[in-house]
Amino acid sequence: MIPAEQQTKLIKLTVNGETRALSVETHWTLSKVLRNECGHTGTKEACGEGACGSCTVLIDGVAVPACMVLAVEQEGKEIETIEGLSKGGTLHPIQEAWLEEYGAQCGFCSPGMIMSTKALLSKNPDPTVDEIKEAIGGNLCICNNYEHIINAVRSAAKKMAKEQGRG
Amino acid sequence: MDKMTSVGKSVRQKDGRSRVTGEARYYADFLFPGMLHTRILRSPYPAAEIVSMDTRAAEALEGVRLVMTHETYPKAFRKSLYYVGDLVAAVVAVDETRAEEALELIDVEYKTRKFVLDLEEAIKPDSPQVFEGEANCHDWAFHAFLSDRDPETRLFKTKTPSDYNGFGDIDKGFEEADVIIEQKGLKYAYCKGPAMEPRGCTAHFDGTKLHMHTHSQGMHDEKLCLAQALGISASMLNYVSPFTGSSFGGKNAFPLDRNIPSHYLLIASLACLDLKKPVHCGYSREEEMVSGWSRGSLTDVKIGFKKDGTLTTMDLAHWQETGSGGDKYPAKNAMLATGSVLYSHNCQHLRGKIHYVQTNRFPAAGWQGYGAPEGVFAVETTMDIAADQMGMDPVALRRKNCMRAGDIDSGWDALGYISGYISSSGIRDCLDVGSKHLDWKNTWEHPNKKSGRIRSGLGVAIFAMGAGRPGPGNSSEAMIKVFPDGSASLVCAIADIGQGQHTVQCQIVAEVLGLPYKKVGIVCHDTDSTPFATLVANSCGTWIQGWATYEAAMDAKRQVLDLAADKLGVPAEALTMGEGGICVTESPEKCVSFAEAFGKRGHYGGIHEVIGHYVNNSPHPNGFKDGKKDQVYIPKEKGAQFISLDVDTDTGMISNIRVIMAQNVGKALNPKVVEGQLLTSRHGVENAVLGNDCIVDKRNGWLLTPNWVDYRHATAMDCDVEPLVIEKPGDPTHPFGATACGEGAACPSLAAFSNAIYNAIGVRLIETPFTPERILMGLGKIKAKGRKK
Repeated sequence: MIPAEQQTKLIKLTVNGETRALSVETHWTLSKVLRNECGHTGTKEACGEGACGSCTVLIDGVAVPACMVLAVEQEGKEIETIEGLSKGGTLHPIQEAWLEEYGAQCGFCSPGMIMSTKALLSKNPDPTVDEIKEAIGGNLCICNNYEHIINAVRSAAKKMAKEQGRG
Repeated sequence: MDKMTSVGKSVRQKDGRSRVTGEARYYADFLFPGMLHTRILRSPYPAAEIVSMDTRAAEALEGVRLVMTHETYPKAFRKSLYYVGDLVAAVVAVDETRAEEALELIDVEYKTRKFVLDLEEAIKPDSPQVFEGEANCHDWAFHAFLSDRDPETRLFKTKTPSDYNGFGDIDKGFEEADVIIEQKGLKYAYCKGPAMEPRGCTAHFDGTKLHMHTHSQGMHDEKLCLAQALGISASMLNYVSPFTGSSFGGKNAFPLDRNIPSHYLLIASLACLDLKKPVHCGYSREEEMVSGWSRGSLTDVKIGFKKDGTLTTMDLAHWQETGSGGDKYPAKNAMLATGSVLYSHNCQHLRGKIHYVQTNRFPAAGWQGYGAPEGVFAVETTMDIAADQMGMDPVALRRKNCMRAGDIDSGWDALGYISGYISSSGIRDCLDVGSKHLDWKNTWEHPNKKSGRIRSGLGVAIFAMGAGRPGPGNSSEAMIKVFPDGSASLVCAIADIGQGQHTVQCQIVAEVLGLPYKKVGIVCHDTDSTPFATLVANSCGTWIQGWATYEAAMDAKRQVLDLAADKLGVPAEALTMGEGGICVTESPEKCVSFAEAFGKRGHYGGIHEVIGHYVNNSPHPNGFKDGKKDQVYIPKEKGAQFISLDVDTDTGMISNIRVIMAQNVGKALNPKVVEGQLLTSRHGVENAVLGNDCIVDKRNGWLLTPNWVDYRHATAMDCDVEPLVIEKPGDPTHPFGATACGEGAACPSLAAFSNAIYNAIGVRLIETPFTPERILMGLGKIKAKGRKK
């Protein structure tokens, strides 16, 4: 057994635009560090093995289950969590769409589902229903609220297009 | 109530904003300084005794604060183990890593016992006993025969203990029947009750009181059970549960019963009270997968009809698995699909024998439908066979026989009523709307007309599910505070497990008070700040809590109107309350604001809030027919589900699944919330075609699918669900005519799937899940696998 102090490493993590120094154990996952060390408990963990997407965050714009990557490997990368979406109390259009379309039932999958949606819409601002299904195919909603979620993604795409003058 | 402003609108989820920003705090999001973490050592054997344990090395590990075993904490651990994953010991340490390392240092000597992992094997007289000295198979303890029917009210007057549930003369019924259809050995697989957020809790002692942060379906009941199990005063315990990451019935905690999978509560509480440190005990997904299974049944059905399709007689024998002593009550709900409720309209003779069976598999817990889906699977596939044999349209046969408003519910819930009136049905409306949606008349074809590799099928099944418990001992309370700024708060303990109760209860308050929905807040955080609410089970929230909320709002409104009446010099009846204050109805220019109505107010006194309160001791007075206390209305969830699918006869694969879920909800208090409930039909798709089954290694009882990769839940890609919300007014038992919606969507799916598969390929599958292997075996393309001897 390796003593705990030999397993720790000092890293700099950039989360939602803020860089902070953290002492982490080398085997800690990003989801664990985000939740326990950074206090970003919006990142939910439901399976711990990349099977449900609850802990999805964006790493350099790519949707990644944070339970499947180590925190020590994230230095120098831009991490975005659900807490980074709303600015100054104003909800992001995806969050607005989620509320309008009743995208959350119990809400446990919502942060991850919303982050997957953000990744999708940044690459593909006008996705088809099949493209939406594929993009959130790795995010489980145990409440099975998928039809509402798909509507929310479509509505979000429209809102974002309008914001950017494309709508 | 003619023009409603909040009820019936798809207003935003009351606590939706925090759910989409990540601010919502589920139990695992309460992080306390110095919090300790728990890991649990679990049994590697399905049946064993702990002979000895050596925990010294674990206790000596740096960072370990406590090792808990049956010797030191007999309230939480047992010497006897009943399933793989049963609790052996727990380690509480500074972090999870240390706790896990310590688990490996615990030395346990086990003595294994014989075990049984299969319901049918467990029923046999020579089966190993799960609990020593106790037969595995139990008869339902409340079997009763109903008789002495009042010719005027049609209600049964006499209930006699029996060895089956029933009425009429079953032998005579079959003697007189023109057509008898019988199916034996229908099997609904034992399936994992779904939960997005795994079980767990965080216990925190603040110097005087233990605060238990956890998910909940009914925090007051769970709190009292926990206090009793701990042996502490209820006043020392505060149960905190602002958010629950789905539950579907399964996470309902009952720490007084050692077999129910809510052990985390005792472990964290005991450790916290002894160490006086916050203790977190969260289950991993793998641990969640050995907690709270459901379904799992074996059923025989026999139904008798007249030539014209009138259903007169039904006989059902039902065995329900409980795993290692889990929840035994779902078994009774198989009766819902019989002549006791769903087919009560014409059924004259009924017998239902209900059993529950223990095995050395994972303990059972409730799950959406709570036994009803298993009964519906058996009855509704048999109804399809009957339609086929009698040459009748499957929809028409159901229309002819299904329950209608005013029919007699002789369900055997031990609620103090022998029988009651079904308050509303609308199943025929659901069948009509669903048929039209699918153009059933023109698209449904008999399977013998189908050919080709890919064959399409249409199936239908109807259902009835309990909806609120109109008996003594079922109650909920509400408190409404109206403030001088014209806003209001609902204070209650109704659990929102994703079904939208926080939202619809606030809509009720807004509607009664005439306030905008956005001006109504909710206090539903913990037991210290709320009055009692019954647990959200049997889809009772809209009904039991709904009345409490409605009447409490009416109480608050009366008080505010009285205050305003004094100020305006008119009787309270002449006033109307709204966003701007209280006005004279006939002279709307004469108004007072809420602040003016409340009167002079300062830092030291005056009216700061008007409080309305109501205790709804179910049934509410409106729950009686014509106000007669011996004539109770029993509300139901009810509807029809249609499945459309394609079967590949070469591969056995099912594709292009469309689920059309039609349910009469009386009045949709929030249409989008209701649609969301109907979307949960997807669970049926998981049970039907995604392979959901309790697959254990027969040699050692280990679960072979302990994760979400091997045990599949539906994704957005697996099917399409089309919710059809039917609003048939007239249910007298709710202030807005709403009937329940929540569990119904789980009930008809497996029958509808089996019927659709039969309709596609002419093969009747009576064992779930409907795997490609079973389809190909049914088609005669492959042979059943057998172990070579």
